[in-house]
Amino acid sequence: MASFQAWRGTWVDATLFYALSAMLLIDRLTRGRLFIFKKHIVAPKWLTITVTGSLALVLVIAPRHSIYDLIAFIFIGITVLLLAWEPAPDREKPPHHALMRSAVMWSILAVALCLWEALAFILSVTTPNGVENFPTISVLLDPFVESLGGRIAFVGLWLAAGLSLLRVWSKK
Amino acid sequence: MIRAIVVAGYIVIVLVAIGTELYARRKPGNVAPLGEMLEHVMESRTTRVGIIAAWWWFGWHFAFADTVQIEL
Repeated sequence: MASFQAWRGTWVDATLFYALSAMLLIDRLTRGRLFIFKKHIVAPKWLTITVTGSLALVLVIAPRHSIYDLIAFIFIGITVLLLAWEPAPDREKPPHHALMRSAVMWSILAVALCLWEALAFILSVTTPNGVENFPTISVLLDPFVESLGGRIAFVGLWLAAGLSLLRVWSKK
Repeated sequence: MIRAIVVAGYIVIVLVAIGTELYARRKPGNVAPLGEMLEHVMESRTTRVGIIAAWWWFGWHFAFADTVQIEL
């Protein structure tokens, strides 16, 4: 993924992916012994809602590609990275075979989407009228995200998905 | 025509994803729902950080970064 981003000239994305890969490699080599915080972080729900709501407001109101947008994304990135680094609590699990089937199914779907998108991108830059004939997801979503309604919907869904991933709703 | 096929490809993948999740919620003993599967795989710090980073990059890429088209 990092090399693909480097090949297509998105140097910021490529740097982020290379840095993340290096960080995870170091974590594997040190067998997960690197810790950022000594105690598990538990954010009060009011704080989570206030911060998320403020960020949503910035991401919707601030002009797209502006410095305010950039600061909000960097803030979100650093915060979720710090939270994701901490160990996850124990929970009840479904049967192992059901988890494996689900993991395989979603992995196939994710890989299929990435391959379809990569194929569309390669054909869009190597064939005549490629951008029109082989639209990438970015090209398809751009007009939607440019509109206010689309931006509100995208930011809302994206932040809600992030909160679900961090499972902040299950904490106090 | 070609554009329609490409867009249909994206739509098919999304529909299969929705179908998978609906089936998983009806038969969680056969296929675990997405949330429970993610909770399981995210017990590993490497996977957890990887998935969270992928989520962040998705927002960054579509809501902030310029769409890049190179000429080959």
